[in-house]
Amino acid sequence: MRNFLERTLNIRKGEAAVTLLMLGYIFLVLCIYYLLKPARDALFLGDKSWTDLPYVFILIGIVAVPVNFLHAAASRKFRLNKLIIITFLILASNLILIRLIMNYEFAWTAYVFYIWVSIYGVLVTSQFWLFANAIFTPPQAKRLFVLFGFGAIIGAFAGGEITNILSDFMSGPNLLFVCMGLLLLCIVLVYAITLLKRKDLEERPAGSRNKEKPKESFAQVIESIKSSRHLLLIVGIIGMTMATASFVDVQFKATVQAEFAGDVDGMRAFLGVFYGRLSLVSLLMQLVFTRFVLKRIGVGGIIMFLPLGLILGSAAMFLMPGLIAGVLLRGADGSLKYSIDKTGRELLFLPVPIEVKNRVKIFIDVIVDRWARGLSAGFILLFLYIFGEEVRLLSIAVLAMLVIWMFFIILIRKEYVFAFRKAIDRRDIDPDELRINIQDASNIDSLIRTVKSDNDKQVSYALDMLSSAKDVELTEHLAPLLNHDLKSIRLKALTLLRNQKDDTLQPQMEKLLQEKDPEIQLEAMRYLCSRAGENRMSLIEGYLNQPDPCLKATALICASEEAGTDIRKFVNAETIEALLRESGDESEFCRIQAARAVGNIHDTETRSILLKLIDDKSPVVVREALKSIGRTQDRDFIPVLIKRIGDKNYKNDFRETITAYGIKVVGTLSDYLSDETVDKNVRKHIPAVLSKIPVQESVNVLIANLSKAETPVKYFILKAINKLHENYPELRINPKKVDSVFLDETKTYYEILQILHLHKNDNGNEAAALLRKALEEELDHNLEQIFRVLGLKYHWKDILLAYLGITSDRAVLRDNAIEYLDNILGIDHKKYLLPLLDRGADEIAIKHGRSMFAIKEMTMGDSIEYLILSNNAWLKTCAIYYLKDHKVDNFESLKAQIVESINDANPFVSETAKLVSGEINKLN
Amino acid sequence: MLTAIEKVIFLQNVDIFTEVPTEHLAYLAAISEEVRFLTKDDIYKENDAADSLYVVMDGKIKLHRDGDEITVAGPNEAFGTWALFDEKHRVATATAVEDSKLLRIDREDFYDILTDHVQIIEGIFKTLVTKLRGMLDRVSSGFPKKDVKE
Repeated sequence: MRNFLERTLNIRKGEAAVTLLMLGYIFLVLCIYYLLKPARDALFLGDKSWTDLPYVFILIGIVAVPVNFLHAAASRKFRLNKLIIITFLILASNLILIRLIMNYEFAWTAYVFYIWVSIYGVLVTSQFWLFANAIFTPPQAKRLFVLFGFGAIIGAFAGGEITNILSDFMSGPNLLFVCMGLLLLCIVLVYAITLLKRKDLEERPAGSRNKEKPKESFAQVIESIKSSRHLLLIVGIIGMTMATASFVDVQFKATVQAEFAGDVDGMRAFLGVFYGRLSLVSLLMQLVFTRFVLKRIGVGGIIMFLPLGLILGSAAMFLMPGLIAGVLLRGADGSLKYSIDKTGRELLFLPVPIEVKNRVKIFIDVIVDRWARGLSAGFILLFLYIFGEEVRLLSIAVLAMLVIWMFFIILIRKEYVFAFRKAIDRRDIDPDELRINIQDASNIDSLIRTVKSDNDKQVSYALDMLSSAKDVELTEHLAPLLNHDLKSIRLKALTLLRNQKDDTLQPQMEKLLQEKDPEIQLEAMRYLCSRAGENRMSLIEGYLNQPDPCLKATALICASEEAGTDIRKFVNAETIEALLRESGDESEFCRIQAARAVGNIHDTETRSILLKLIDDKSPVVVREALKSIGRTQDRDFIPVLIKRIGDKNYKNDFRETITAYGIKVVGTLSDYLSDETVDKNVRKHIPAVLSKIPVQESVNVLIANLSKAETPVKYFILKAINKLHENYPELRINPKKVDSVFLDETKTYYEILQILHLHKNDNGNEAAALLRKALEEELDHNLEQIFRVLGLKYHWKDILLAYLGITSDRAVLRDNAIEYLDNILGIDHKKYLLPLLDRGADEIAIKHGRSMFAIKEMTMGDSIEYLILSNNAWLKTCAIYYLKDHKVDNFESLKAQIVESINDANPFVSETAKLVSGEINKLN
Repeated sequence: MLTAIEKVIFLQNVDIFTEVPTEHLAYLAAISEEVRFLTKDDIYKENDAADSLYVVMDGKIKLHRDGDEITVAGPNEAFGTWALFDEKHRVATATAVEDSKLLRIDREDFYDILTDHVQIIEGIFKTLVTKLRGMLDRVSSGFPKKDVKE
């Protein structure tokens, strides 16, 4: 079963259940829509005239505005899965209401139902894709979204056919009960998906999806479009596509109304079959023609299909108006617009720089689309008013629009190639962000040309882009890159070549096997293995028996990649150890490959090998061993990894390896973070790792440790929470805990401020000056922590701006920032924070602090005692050093604490305590 | 031998470290080494590999090239600072004018502690930016502004 899913549907291990549920979800959503759509049209055309359709188009545009607003507001309040379930419940209850209204035959019922179904169609499908985007990563999306598109079309087809079948024994209004039942079934599916993906939804770095994007003003969006000829042409094309669609829809419905003349059930059955089968034709177009046509005539060619099809349909409508012409016209529109033309329209955005695309795509997809439809509805009304209610005459308007549309297409064909080349030059397209595979002949051509350029960065970029091209034979163009000076380019070319069908490069690969580079040799061997067919095992075995230790080592990796085969038995502790014993020039090569191979076959015997390799003298070996540990996900490694988390040379590598364990490691990290016996230098690195595992558990662990953590661990915890909060705002942070930390931090600030104030006029020796400086630095540090805490309660950008103003040297900026905080902070935060920001009035602030936190007034001696007893090692050091030359009021009682501090774990404290204690003894 | 906190008192006066928090100067202090030179001793010579910075705690050090004196560094002053940031050879010779006690910070040790104490880099950047701004201000004030009446 798994093989079937993997081979035929490209569903991988662990994805089956959720993918099938999502398939069921989109199937049902579309099935319902195609049950409702014919019922909607039949009800409207049975009750009203086709000439009323433009009014309903305009009304849809108007109603969509508050619906969108409400949906956006709800999406800020609820998680997506909850929002979808709530939407389904509302929609199901709406259906009951509409069914009740239908009993009374109000004049406006047909309008309400038409608008409701249209909004339903947009709302539920967009929610589905949002959900799919939240659940699947971009690589998964590339594989699985095709399936969902397929599921949607089958759903549409089924809906249409069911409408036809039910038309004989169920009235249109009663169909609404069936739809309601199916909507409830959708809720069950969404709930099941949520249960299955809850952890993944939380764990998966949502990447740019969840990052707050800067809000673009309308003027900025318009400016971006105006400044790009390419974007202006896209707007023109999409505008004409949508405007023409409204004319075509009206013409088609007019012919249906004329044909069925009051037979509502007959009309519904016909429309059901028509819409359903139209989706099927659209699917066939997409599957059979799109790729084929795209490869041959490129994007400029495929966007011509729809207008050409509409010219034929409109001509037919003009010459012999009737149902056949209507079906031809609407059929051309429906089958091409969401298949070939949709692919073409999406590809037009490919050369648009990503930041510009982010800015304008939604505007073009939503606003231009709606305006074009709204304006076209107005034009239809105007046209009917001027030329009379004759359907065939509308074709003249359609033909005129098609001429303009095709003119835009002719212009954009040249512009697109130019823009694409420019995008390659600027490396504007992010290959990782590509959710579609590059197929366009002109794109491939541009990329191939770039691969041959002298600019190494562009060659590398073009190779990344080409990795998303499917079914394009690139061997001839990539083969010369095997001799490229840059190893990274040779490697990329090798990887791409392995996936080509051509197998003429075997001699070159044999030659590359002699290269003493572990990665190049491995890719070359993988190429040869992939071409060996049934002889693959004997080929690997042959390499394993070679006298050359490098070949043997690389072959071990290939063998370790052959899961479930006999060849894998060659990869064991004994063979790996033998490799590690290799000496001479090839020793490092063998250790690198051994580190890689072990990661694929990890067992208890090889665990010790990996542990040995992370202490290797070669950084490459250490890094490969760490990557292998990450792949094994073996929990036994975790203590070792955490112990080395602050490793001077491999800090980032150790962190990444721990991060690779994901949610599994959070509990252990929590244990280490809260264990005060663990070295602070280890603990202070743990928050950074947790910030890279964006799950609720990470936040909980960090928050739980925040109030009890000492300096500097506390600061790193705060930084990590800030990072998680900024990148994953959906993670919940307990507001009570945040408030409590805010109060702690603010109180500390007031205490330190009081101490600093006491020492302000202490113009003693350098020890006093140093203590003063350390106190000032601590205040700055403390203020940063206070603002970091506030960043968890308020919008972090507001707080950051205020902090930058407060810490600025310019008085105007400071004053503005205080004013700003006065406006944005709640009273509970304002009353503690604002007094301490007025640094010109320290005495007033100190008084405030004393009254708000019941801080006692300190003497010099108290202040030094406070610092010595604090958990801030540096302030403690400075306070002890201060006592070397200063006799404070409670000096005698402090002596004992100095002596005690000689055994402090912090070397600065103990060293200074020893020095001061010695000095005091000398004086005595 | 000085303790770390005593070394901090010297290091906080070094031009390049003025913006580094004292707590982090303590880590620099921990890697610094006290070295002594007698009068006329060369601390380093022109074209030697530049591998450490020195802070004068006591005494005087003359920096000179081809017999010409460039400057004399006294207590609390640092020399050879740029050795921390580039690997070029020394451009002058440093000679003790009198018996001197210096603090020496080795470049390799310096980079080792930077990985864990980014605040040191932040402090150094702050100083460099302030210096750069000052230089730009001086340069721009040196050019007469174009008179609009012209």
